[in-house]
Amino acid sequence: MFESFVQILTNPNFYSNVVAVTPPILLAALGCAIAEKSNSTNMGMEGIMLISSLTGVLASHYIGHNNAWLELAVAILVGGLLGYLVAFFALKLRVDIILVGIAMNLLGSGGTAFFMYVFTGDRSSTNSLQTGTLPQINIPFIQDIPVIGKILSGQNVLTYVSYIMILVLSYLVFKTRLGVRIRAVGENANAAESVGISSVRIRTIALIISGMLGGMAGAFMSSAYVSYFAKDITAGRGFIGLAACSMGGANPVPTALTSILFGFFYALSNFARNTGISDNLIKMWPYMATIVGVVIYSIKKTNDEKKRLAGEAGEIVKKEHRHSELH
Amino acid sequence: MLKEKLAALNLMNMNAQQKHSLLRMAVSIAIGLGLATALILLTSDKPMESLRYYFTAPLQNASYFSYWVQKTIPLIFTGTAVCIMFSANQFNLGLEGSFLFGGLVAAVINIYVTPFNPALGIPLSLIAGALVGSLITFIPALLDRLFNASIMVTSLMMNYICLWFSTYLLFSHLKDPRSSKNSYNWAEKDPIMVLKFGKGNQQLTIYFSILIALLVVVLAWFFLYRTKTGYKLRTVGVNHNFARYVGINAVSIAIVVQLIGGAIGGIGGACEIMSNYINYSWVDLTGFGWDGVTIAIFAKNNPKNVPLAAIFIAFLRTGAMVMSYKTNIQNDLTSVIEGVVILFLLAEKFLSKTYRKMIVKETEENRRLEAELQKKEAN
Amino acid sequence: MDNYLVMENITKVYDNGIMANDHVNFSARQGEIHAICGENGAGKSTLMKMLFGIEQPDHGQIIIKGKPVHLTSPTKAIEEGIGMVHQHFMLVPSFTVAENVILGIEPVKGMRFDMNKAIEMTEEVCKKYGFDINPRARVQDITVGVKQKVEIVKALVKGCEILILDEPTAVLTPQETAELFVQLKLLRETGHTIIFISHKLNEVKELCDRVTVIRKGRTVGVYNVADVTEADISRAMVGVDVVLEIPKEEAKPKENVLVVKDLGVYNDAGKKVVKNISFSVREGEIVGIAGVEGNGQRELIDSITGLHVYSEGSIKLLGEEVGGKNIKELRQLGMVHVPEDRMTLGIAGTMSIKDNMIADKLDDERYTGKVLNKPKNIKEDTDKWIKDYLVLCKNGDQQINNLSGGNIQKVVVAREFTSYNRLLICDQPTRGIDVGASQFIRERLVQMRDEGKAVLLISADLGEILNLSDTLLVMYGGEIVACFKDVKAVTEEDLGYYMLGVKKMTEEEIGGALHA
Repeated sequence: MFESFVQILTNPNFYSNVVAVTPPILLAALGCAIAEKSNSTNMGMEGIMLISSLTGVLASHYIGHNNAWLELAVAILVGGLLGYLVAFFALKLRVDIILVGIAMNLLGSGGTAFFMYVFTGDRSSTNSLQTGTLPQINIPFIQDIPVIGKILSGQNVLTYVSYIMILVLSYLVFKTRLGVRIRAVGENANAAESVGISSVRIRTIALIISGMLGGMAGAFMSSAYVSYFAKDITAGRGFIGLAACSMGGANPVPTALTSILFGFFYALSNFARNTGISDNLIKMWPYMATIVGVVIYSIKKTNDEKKRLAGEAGEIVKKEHRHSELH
Repeated sequence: MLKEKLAALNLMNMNAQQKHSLLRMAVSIAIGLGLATALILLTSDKPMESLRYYFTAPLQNASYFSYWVQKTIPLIFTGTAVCIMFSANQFNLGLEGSFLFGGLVAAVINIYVTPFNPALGIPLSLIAGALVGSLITFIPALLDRLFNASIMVTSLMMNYICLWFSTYLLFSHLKDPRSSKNSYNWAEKDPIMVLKFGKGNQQLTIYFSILIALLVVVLAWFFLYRTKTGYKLRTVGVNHNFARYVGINAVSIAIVVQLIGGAIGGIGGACEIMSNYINYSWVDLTGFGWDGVTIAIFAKNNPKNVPLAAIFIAFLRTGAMVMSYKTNIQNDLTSVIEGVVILFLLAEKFLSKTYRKMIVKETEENRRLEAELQKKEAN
Repeated sequence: MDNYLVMENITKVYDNGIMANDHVNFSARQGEIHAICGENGAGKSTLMKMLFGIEQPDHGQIIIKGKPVHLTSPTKAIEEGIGMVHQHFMLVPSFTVAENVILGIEPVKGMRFDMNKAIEMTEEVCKKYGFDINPRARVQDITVGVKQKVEIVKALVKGCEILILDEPTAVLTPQETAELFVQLKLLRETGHTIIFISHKLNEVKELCDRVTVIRKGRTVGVYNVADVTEADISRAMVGVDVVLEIPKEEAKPKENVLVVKDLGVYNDAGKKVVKNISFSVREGEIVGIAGVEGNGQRELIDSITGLHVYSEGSIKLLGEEVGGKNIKELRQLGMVHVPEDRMTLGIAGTMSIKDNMIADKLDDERYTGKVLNKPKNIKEDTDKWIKDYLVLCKNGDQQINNLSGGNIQKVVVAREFTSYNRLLICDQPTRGIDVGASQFIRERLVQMRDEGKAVLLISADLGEILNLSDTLLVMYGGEIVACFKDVKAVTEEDLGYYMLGVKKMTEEEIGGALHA
């Protein structure tokens, strides 16, 4: 058994698979993170992914000559709209945001199954309406490097886009005016309100961005490696994204790293067949890893908080000292 | 006494807050049902027939009626469980897992421990279901207590761990080699917790588990509103700082609540398996845990409203199920309706303009009355 | 220019049915400092929230420079040149001063947020109005006084002409207050209109040109400050002359109930905030603790009541060590506690008055059996307490959130005083409540003392603490710096010296606080 694991871990195909299965989790997690930064928990990520994925497929089939790019665009658009819907109910009509998320997931699972049947007459997938997939890209130079090339090159274009989103999100959150406002609203909404920043507006924008990332994740499910939508195709990836965001403290880079860790376990369950362990058992691992991760993160956070407080106390003592020296 | 009760029922005597809450409930449900009607009319080949099934099917014959009861029972269990957890402000979403494991452990007991012996198997399964169910919600509660780890996230993860573990158990151990997806049987023909009469459309099924479900509701209500632990629990739910300050151990309350919630979920799962199956074949989360949240919202976290809420949702689901057999409509319609109703039902600001008008009018009226009274007293 | 700012016939009803403003009129001139006075709950803050666009009036209109305006949000108010410094600071702790100052009008360079420009803008305003602030400091690291300045700079940088200050001196030291007043007078010189909300009449006298008094949501009158005395304003505020003095007899203290010895307490940040304190409270006496907030009183009280862990020395309640006991056990020993922050600690807001009153008596056999509660007994007793403690409400089932602050406090006091008690800890028992309720609670306290209870009173209201205490301790810098046995002889001025750390009694005098 040990040997078979070594075999998996030394197989470049395994790492290539990690890179390939991470994006939907990563996009969902980044989406949850930007919402969380503005103090909104986007529990409805799963539902947003499902709905945008199906609408993308349908739009592409019926109006876009099965064009996968159109599918992606529509999915992002619909995701944004759904993000707005979450914001509307949670912020304008004051429904608890977690419960809005739960309602969104109900709409997602029920609505996609309902309309899939309306459009295709099929209860399990949209296999009958084949739409295109997005192209795979070979990166010049890198594809020629042994091992690395095999892992990094030849992935779907949306895969690369999703990793680029880590940088985009970091820039957005920490370097732009919108980012400043999102963080201000998330940390002290009253402070933002008092200078005329509408926290509702900022949180709405954050949720729309969150929804668009969810839409991208949804499109990935039905246009990157397969070309159709299936009932419950996301299989909980929206929730995993939420967990990754929680573990990453809603900061883009740590959240991304956590997502990649989940991708690692996902890939492991894909490669588990020749280890002698049931793949059903291995499918438990990402979730167990999440729990362990969240626990570690919580311990770290508690310790940091303690250290920060202690540090502050030290500062005060120092200042008092300085003060008394001056007088 | 009777007069007081009548007065309490009288709409005119309700204050603006209560009136508004009732109005919101009515409008939300109307919106949901209106949407359902519209969707059916738009997508059905036989719209009138579909509508008839959707809104009246459970009353059409004994078989559909039985199905309605069958769908109500799990909702009562998980709805009550969520009511208790939400009352103490504990957002544990692990009920999915509790329910699933409750079913799984009931199957294991009926296959291996007390094969073909329901008299022993049923009580044993219920107890085991309660224990296993509470274990599932306990783990996140414990992690929260020890490490301050988000219950919401860890409990969600527990659900998937339960799912894959039970799937593993089914395919690696429980599965009957003669079947591709079922475990060994534990009964000859009918599930062990039901009695069936008649045939075909007129087959009436008596579910003993409904008695257990109603008992759970009554106990839960008594527990929440008539016992001191229940009182403490609600206090913790409203303001845990206050609870600590008056000497209530909020931490142990939180854990107790989640144990109870999980136990009820587990019992629900055991009842579900023993009422509807003669072998185990679950390879998916049942969704009843999430439904519990819906029911608790409809019931405003009070167990006494749970049966009504569960009956309502189950009615719609039965209608949708029958409709999907008979016509070309997919039964998932109902979750869409539920989602929509929840959103409007919980929307504090929904119809807030009417509410403001009501409250301004009421307050001005009160002020005027007070002033008159004072004048009278002064004379 | 008398129509510079006019608020006309403003009426506001809150969602819980409380009418906060009832046809209120208010106007201010350009270049004046205008005070708004009124008791807590009179509707001052509500009126200002409407001027800053946080709340919208149900009736009435607001006119600025002769033009009616609809202030539907703070953004609108800021556009009209209104700025507000709130009672609780509206700052983002992890941001720098400059980031906080330019929040809402962030300078950008292309896509990027321009930090250098932000610092420049902050420095410019600071220079113009003479504020001494480091724009690069993080807000979480600066003192309260500086935070207050940041708030004002924040308003000025957005070009505000009308500046609202909601009880700005509540959190400041006297020096900081003096500095603030100089700054505000400078702003008046430059043509700014300042609306100054305060309880402190001496400050109003010192700083303001005119004063508008509001009582129970209605305007009482507008006065030139030069023409009226503090007593005049006070009368207008409360309608009748305040009778503060509670008649009480000489205390007859008996046995020790609470003995604190060499107590040392560290706060959550690991700083030692209570240093070697010793004192005792005996049956039948009220021991008062005076002091500027933040001198260790909070941690001292939290340690005695079991909310905070102490590490040095001992606290003995009726001979038993408090440390290691939980709150339930302490309450069983006879400790009751009226907490300072009643909304977060004192009540469960959405529960009924009845439920709130018995929350600490759940293990009493009169109210609960082994399993079930006894609703009849609960109703009987709570109805009686509502009557005894003059709680104004429809009935015991009313949600406690719907009551006024004074009535909520009466419920808290009723709950605590009707439980088994030997030691009453009252932390700011009359803060922010109306005169009638305050008077009532003070009388009750004296009555409890006369019944032989030990009372520990902490209050920022010097009049109250001088009136009620039999022994008065003063805390400064985490230590007891004074112990007055003859409280009647203490003057407010004298007390001030000890509270501000100018004077300190000898070890021997302070040692008198501890009775063997």
